[in-house]
Amino acid sequence: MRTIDQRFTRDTSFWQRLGRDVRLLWRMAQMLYAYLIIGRRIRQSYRAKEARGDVFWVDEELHR
Amino acid sequence: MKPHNPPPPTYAFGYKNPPQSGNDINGLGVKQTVRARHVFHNATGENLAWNALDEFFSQINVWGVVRYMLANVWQLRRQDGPVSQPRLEVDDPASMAAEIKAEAKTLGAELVGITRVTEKAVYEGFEVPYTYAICIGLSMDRAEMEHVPQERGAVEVMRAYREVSRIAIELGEYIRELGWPARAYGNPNSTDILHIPLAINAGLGQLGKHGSMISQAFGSNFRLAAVLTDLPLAVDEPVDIGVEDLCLTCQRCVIDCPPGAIFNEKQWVRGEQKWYVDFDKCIPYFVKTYGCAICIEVCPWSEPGRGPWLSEKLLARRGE
Repeated sequence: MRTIDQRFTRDTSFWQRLGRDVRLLWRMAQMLYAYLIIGRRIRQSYRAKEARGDVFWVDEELHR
Repeated sequence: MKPHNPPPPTYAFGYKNPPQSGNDINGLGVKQTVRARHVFHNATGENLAWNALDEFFSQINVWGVVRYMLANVWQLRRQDGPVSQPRLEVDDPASMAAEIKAEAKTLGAELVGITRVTEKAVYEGFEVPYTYAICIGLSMDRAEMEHVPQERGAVEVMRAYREVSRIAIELGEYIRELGWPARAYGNPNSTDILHIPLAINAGLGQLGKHGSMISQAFGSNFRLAAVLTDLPLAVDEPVDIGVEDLCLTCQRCVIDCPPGAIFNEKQWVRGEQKWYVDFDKCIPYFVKTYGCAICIEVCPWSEPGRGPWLSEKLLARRGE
C-alpha cells in the first residue's frame, strides 16, 4: 500500500465500499484532529518563537 | 503582475540537523538517466528526508487550504473502481481520443492532451500498469492568484486542485463504463507519477525557467491532473510555443523570487539538461508563504490573453 489513495479505491461490493468510506472518514478525522488540536499547539509555539526571534526546529519540536 | 507584499526570505523555523540536500535527492548535476525520488510531499508513509518540513507546512497552513485538501482526499476515493463489461472495442484510436477529449471538456477541463506513460514520469520504486495518460489542465482564478504569496492564493491553488481532480475522477469513471481500466491521479495526492513530464509530452505546454509548465492559453496559471488508462487512444505530440525563446532572456521570475531559487541557466537533472529550481532555497519560502506561487504568476505568459500573442511573436522572430 504505497499511497493514501490506493488503500481506499480498489474495493467493489457495497460492503467493501462502505468499509472503504468508513476507513477513509476515520483517516480524515485523524487529519482534522492533527490540524485542529496538535496543529494549534504547533502554530502557537511557532508564532511565539517567531515573535521572540527564535527558531522552531521542525525536526525536534513537531512531536514534542 | 507584481507579488503582493512578499515577506523576506528569513525563517523562524528550520532543521537543527539539516537533511540531505533536496537538490541531491532530485538528481541535480546527475548526467545519467535515473528516475525521480520523493523528497517533500508525502502520502506514502515513506520516511522522506524532508518529511518534518512537509508536516510543519501542513500544520501551519490556513484552514481554507486544509478544507479543500480534505475534500480532495474524500473525492479521490473514487479515483479507481470496477470496470464495466462488456468492453467497448476500439477500432479507431483517433476518434476515441477525440471523444475522450470532448468528454473531458464537457466535465470542465480547459486543457487536454494524451501521451504514452513513460518510465521517466513514474517515481522510483513505483509501477503504473497503464499505457496512456490523459493529461488535464484547469486554470486558476487570476483575481485570486494576484494575491500570492498570501493566503488567498494558496486557497485558490487547492480549490483548483480539487476541481481538476474531480474532472479526472469523472473522466476515469466514464472510461471504466466503456469497459477499460482507468485510474485518476489528482494532485497533490498523486504520489506515483510526475505530472509535468506527462503533460509536456501530451502537448499541454513547455517547461519554463521557473520549473513549472507554461501553456499558451493560461501561462503557468493552471493545475494538472491525469487519468491513466489502457483504452486505445491516439497520442498527441509535444508543442513548441516559444517558451525557450523567452525564458533564455527573460528575468522576471528570477528577479521576483525572494529566496533567489531560480537558476538563469539550465541544469543537468537526472540525465537531462533542463530548467530547475533550487529546492533548498525554494522550499523554506514555499512553506513560510503557504505555497508561494510568485514565479508562476509574475511569468509574462500568465498575463490573461497574452499567451497566443507572445507565442506568435516569438515564433515569427525565429524566421527573421
